[in-house]
Amino acid sequence: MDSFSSKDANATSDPFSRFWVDLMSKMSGTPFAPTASQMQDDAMKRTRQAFFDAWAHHCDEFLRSDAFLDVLKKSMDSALAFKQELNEFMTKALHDQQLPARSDTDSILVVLRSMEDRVLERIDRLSSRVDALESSASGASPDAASGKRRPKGVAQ
Amino acid sequence: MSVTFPQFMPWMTTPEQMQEQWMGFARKMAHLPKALEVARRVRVGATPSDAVFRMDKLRLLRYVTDVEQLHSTPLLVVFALVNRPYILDLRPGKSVVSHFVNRGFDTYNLDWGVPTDGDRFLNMEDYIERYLDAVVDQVRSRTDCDKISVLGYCMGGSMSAMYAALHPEKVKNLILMAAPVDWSNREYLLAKWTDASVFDVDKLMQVYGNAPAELLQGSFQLLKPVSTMVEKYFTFYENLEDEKFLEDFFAMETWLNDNIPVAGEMFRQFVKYCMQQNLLIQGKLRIGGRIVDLRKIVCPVLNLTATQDHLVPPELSLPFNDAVGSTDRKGVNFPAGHIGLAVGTKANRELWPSVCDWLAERSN
Repeated sequence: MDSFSSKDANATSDPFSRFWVDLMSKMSGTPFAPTASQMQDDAMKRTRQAFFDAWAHHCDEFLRSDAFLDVLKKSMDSALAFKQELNEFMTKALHDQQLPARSDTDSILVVLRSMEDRVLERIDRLSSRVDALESSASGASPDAASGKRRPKGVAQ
Repeated sequence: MSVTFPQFMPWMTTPEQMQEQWMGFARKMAHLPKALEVARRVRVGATPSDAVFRMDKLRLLRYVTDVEQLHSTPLLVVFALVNRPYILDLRPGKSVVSHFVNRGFDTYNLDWGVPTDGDRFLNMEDYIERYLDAVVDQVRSRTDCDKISVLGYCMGGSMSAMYAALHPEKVKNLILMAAPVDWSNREYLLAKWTDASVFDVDKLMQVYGNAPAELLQGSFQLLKPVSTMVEKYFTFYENLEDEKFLEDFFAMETWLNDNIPVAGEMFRQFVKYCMQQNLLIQGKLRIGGRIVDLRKIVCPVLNLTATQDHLVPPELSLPFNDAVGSTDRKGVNFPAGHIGLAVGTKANRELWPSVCDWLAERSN
């Protein structure tokens, strides 16, 4: 490490810099000093990192504290209550105008899903029966007759 | 005893430094238009791919390459429902996928798509028994293989583990990457926030339908607020003149801000049954009326965890290897963070080549 000597201080061309470095040298009572680049690279960054680490540690402690969890719960509860009231208001407003609201599309989706379940269940049963018939016709086991399951969706 | 200047007042800056900092600031500001240009032109996704299968909103991507296929067993990559799957193929040099593609694996990636309000009732059974099973069948059918290798990342890893337990006859190798399976540790931050006494997931889903993307992103950012909201921008400022850094930074930011909602019922079941009640590792989780018994997984298992993972700490993943029935099982706890495991320079240099070796030995 370079020394913070008056020689170094005098080496700077700027008079104000010279004065400042000299002053700080005397204030610190030390004959040592880093160069500007070292100061930048080492001490400043280390200090900043130490500050961030301490801050992060403090935040982590706070974020897992009972106080924060309580605030989190209360703010979530009130946000959800507000949103629910908004939903209800919108549903009523839309219904008053004879328009469908989200609750209506949700109801349709629920009906469609249960219908889909029933159809798929029925297809599965039919598929098993076809497999059983095929296997009895060919003399193979039902598993072998069914082979690999046909993939659903659209192959491209 | 003498005290050096930085020890005495490390926060003080000399006029020379102030001048240097000012010049540095001016240089960086002069570079801003260049940074904006980089932000505009940066692209995500390193490896060309084709969508070979579609079902509802999901797409199955197959990576296109000139590299000769050296392994008969294809690999399916399964990402989480939160965020987009291109994090595994972010940029050249930061792509998990490219490691496998360049080593001659026929590689597929599952893009779940973006759920809309109409998808709020999609549940765990839909995602695992319907979508994932259809995709696995599609890969098996295309490659004429009875069994395939599956790599699951984060929540996608948990889902892959559930699938492998329900369909062991279709999975030849299972690689989990920062995949939570055991939520018995209640001390990590996300467990505290999602505890049933704090987080009413039923109510949230009832009111919002799907899990809002903003809520998820906000929660993830708040896990490490100083790092994600302060330090990151200091680093950005310091590297404003480094074009390579900017490209990586903007690619990462693109992914981080490309949030998607999670289908409501799926989110509710995952939070309630996995995160709050921890049913998966106890062998009590039911999907489509069937118990998910991890002991039924008998294929080779590679469990990758990240030592500095704040989202899925290793304690959430490590018990998996003891819960499965496999005899060929290995765990690697790599020094990285949750995302660093996929895009970190060290992980791409050291971890993924060895994962490729592990898989190559088991893929013919």
